[in-house]
Amino acid sequence: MVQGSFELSNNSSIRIKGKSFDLNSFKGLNDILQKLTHENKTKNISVIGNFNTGLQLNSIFSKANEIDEALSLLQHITRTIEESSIKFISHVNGVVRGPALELVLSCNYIKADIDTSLDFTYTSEGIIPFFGSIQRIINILDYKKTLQILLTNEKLKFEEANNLKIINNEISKNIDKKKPFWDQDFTNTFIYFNSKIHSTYKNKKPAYNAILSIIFESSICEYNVGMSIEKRWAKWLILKSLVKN
Amino acid sequence: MTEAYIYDAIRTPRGKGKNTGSLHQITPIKLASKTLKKLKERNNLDTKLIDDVVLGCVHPVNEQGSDIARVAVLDADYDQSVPGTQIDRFCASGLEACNIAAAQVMSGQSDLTIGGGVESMSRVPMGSAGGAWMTDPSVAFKTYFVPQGISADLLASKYNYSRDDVDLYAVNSQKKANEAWEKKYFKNSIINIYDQNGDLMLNHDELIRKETTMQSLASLEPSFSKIGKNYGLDEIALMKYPENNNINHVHHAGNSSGIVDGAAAVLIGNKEIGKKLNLKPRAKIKAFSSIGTEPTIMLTGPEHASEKVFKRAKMNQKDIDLFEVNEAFAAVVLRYLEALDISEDKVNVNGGSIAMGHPLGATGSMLLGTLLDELERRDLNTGLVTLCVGAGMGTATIIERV
Repeated sequence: MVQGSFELSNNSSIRIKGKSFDLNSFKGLNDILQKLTHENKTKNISVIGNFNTGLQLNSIFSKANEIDEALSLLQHITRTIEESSIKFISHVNGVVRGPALELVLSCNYIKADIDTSLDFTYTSEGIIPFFGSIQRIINILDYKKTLQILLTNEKLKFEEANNLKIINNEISKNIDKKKPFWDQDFTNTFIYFNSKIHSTYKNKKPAYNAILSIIFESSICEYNVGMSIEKRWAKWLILKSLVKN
Repeated sequence: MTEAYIYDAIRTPRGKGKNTGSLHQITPIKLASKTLKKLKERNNLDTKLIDDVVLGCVHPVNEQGSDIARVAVLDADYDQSVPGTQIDRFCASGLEACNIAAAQVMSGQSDLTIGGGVESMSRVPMGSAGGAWMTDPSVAFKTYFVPQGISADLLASKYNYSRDDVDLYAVNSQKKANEAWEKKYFKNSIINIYDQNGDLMLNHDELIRKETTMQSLASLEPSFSKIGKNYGLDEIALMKYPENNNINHVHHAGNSSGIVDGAAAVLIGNKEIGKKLNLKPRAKIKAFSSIGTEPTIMLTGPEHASEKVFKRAKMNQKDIDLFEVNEAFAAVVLRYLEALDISEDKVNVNGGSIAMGHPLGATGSMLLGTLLDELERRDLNTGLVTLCVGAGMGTATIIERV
């Protein structure tokens, strides 16, 4: 698999190259972002290139004592994009998955071609988003749709993603006004998804449990706290997989 | 009557009850179940022998709803035969839970019980449970409902406690709590809270402000002045207490109890079960009582509950070595000292809720543990815990070391 990297061109675009990304790839991306935000000259950045990507999990999370640092870097990257005064516009097409999907979700705008498919197939691979995307998806959609997409490994085709206003739509950055979810519908939704996941996977797929727990625990929390909860469960999942291996 | 003994008492640290608090990410069920787990580990308990778990919780809705005590039992991996029940006596819920757990033992209907409480005020905020008392006009009018802060200011006005009086009390609470932490007086009861990865979330009461002075408190605006005037609440209080000319708003965030998250659990049983499990009794629950008093001033329950429990125990205040009186508001404790003519050096000797916070459903059981630890540390014999309670109630419990 082609080693992934990020390349800044003319201070106007970041190109995603390759398919498989390790920690150094993201350190490189972080350097680019720091440079851009520090210089404060650029108004718009296009994110282009290959969006069908994956993580080299074994290299990124190889040591238990470095998990916190690695996860912090990954979340820091998307938070930098999200909080920057630079407008990030991703131009996507074809399959968008893995870390590229997470980067794209933190952009201000996702300009998508008609052949675009957003593959939320994390849990089927035994992982969850590691860049803090769950809170972002909840922010764009709602907790119920987020649960559905992530737990059923949905591949959102252009039309549906368009209807849901994930693509070709300005993404709301009004992230600190998330309201508590608790009501009768919230309870019923969790009863449904908990039992579906429990009966289907018999407690043997921790990624599903992590997704449910993240969305449950962050249900009354502000965005930043939700990010922290995501990090905690991501660490839990990684530690489980390290023990297993 | 069978004697009820306290075998152990533990509590979580109190985390700031807001989204930046260290326990905000920990759900209330986990706070409760971590406490039960620790009680089991520390005492090597065969949980099949536990007859009941009674937990106080003042806002038993959403994450804290649906009988959190039983769910905490299950989450703590206790034997499934152990039942659990959640009770609510507002701010005294944690103490009332221990009293009910003790009553089960005293009546001979249980051998081993757990009393305790939990409240995550950052996740299930005050007021979440609603209630007719403050919202149904037919009840609110009839009972001259005012919020507790107005009652506290009414209490201070009625008994002439000045802003300086209540602030001085608060400064001392901070000082005593800080000193108690520095000297590790709480170490026997505190359990550290870790997340699912084993990372430490909190190991100390994070609300304490050791730098608090009269000057720093003087800069704080009274918390209830605006609502007192703008909502007509002062008028309602004065309708009930016409002998007062006005309400002197002296309470603020610095001399009222802090909003925090926390949980506590107390292991209670008869003598035989202690012998069977090789547990050493630390104290006997001598007597307890609850009482209702006038609900508008609301916060004078502790003196009346104490008088009632003294009568029941055939004791008086001179028989008590140490008191824990919940610092809901500074005026509550000042009134208690005055009403019972007690020296301040016997009361809340390690600070209280003003400094460390008041996790509503858990505080009563926390105070019971704090009192027991301090009686042991000073090698004293008898202590009393009391709390003022919403709607004008009060609850008090006397314990005696064995």
